[in-house]
Amino acid sequence: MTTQKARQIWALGGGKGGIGKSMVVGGMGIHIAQLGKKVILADTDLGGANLHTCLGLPLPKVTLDDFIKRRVEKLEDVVCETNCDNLGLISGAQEFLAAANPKHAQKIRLLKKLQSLDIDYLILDLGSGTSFNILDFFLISDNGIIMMVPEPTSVENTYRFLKGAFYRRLRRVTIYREIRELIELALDQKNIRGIKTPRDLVEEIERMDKKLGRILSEEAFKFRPKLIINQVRMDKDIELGFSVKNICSQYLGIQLDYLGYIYYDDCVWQSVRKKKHPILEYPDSKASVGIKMVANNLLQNQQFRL
Amino acid sequence: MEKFLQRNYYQILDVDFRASKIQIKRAFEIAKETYGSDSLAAHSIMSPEKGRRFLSKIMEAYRILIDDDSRRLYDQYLVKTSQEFVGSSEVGLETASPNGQLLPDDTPPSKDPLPPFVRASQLSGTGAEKKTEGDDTLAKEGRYDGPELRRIREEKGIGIRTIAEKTKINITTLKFIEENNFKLLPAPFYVKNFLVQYCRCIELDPEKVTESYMKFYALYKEGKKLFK
Ligand SMILES: Nc1ncnc2c1ncn2[C@@H]1O[C@H](COP(=O)(O)OP(=O)(O)OP(=O)(O)O)[C@@H](O)[C@H]1O
Ligand SMILES: [Mg+2]
Repeated sequence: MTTQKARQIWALGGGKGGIGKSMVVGGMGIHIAQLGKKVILADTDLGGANLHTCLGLPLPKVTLDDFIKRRVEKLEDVVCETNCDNLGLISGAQEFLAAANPKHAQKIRLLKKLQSLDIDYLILDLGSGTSFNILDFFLISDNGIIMMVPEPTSVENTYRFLKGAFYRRLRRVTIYREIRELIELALDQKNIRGIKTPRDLVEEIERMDKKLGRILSEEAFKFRPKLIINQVRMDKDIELGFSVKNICSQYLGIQLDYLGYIYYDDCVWQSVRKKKHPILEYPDSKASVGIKMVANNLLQNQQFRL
Repeated sequence: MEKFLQRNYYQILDVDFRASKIQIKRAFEIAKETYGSDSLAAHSIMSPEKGRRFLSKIMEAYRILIDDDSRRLYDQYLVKTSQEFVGSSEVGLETASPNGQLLPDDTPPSKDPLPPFVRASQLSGTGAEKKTEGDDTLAKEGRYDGPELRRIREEKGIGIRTIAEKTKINITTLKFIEENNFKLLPAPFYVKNFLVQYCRCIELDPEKVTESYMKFYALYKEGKKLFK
């Protein structure tokens, strides 16, 4: 494997709560740290942080909240040590719900500092939902990863998340009022123009203005979110990744990369109960193998295929 | 949605224009699974009706691309209708096996985020790349279409004018034959007749050639509405 000197930010989100995001962020972090990279995990799930528990750590004394509220000046001061070499943790705010909605200026300061940390990999645990905060962290990352489980609600949430992120991205690169208005319109599923998907939107804009449409479709093409399927139990669940990828490209007009899958595995909750991470407790279990596969695919910039 | 129905078959199956048969089969299986009636992936995002429309287009694309002859014709059709066309958007990451190792992939990874604009001359149907491959010609497989006949004729250094003079066949018609321009060619009976004469001039087995060529012709007739 080639050493990647450039620091990278990965962000893992997913529309649905409690599907294993924190577990996988922890596992990927441990795995990469074991490969000798400097890694920091950051819990940006402001308000519902529990990444520390996944790593078997007690509630940290300093959290992101202290940085946001400027009780500490340097972001480095809220990085806690973990049980693993090369792996640090920035814990999310626990009880200060007000922090769950940082002001824009606070967010910018946080993003800038996160981007300038002197490490190899920064992995953000975004928590669940599709709030603007979450989408913004997702969009600034080098690899925006979305996690899904093979259930209808989770699949539905995945599309919602992807659409939300896509529109927000387009909105950011657009200075034209007409386009912003069209994006607003697209967000309403029952809009009169019949814009149901990002693809429809880009096509509608192409109709209005060829050059603008071209710029936007290039922009759309640069948006390359990644997909992980967790808690798979059978082959059909693995195949689901290819199907979602197909629908994203054919119907939504979003280029999704399928990174791989992680088996549902009893050893996960067994180790969670012992307050240990499965990747340390059962490194050869099906779940741990899946986490490593996904992390390796990201490291090598490739996707999973049968 | 409307645009989907207008996209080319490669795009509809989400494969590269150089995709192998295995890749096309695999893409078709995924697509069938994806838009089938009990698909978990489609259920929350598209109506069953829309899924069915996708599926029927996908079947159509598969039928054309899985057969060597109809695929060749289709490629030529694409070249004729547009000088360049966009293949599948699959240029992102390289292929990985389940254990994370790199597999050889015939699509080179591209750093360019833009869709790959494929030059018409790279298409299998133009005959351009066949020339450089030497031995690996259609004729070797006993398949003869217009461009292949032209390639053989030129290889033997026989001008199209010479054939026109010898056979008294109109030069434009000869050109239509060599271009697979079935739309403007006369009825099969005449085409067969022309072909036999053409073959005599360039010393090819008339029986073999007409049989293969007329298959291309029939495919075109059959798929005419698809190629519109
Ligand atoms: N692959 C798996 N096999 C078995 N159990 C799993 C697996 N992945 C996750 N779980 C179970 O799901 C629980 C929730 O995981 P986790 O806390 O990581 O979810 P989350 O997505 O971060 O939740 P939240 O949205 O609340 O932050 C774990 O404690 C574990 O018991
Ligand atoms: Mg969590």
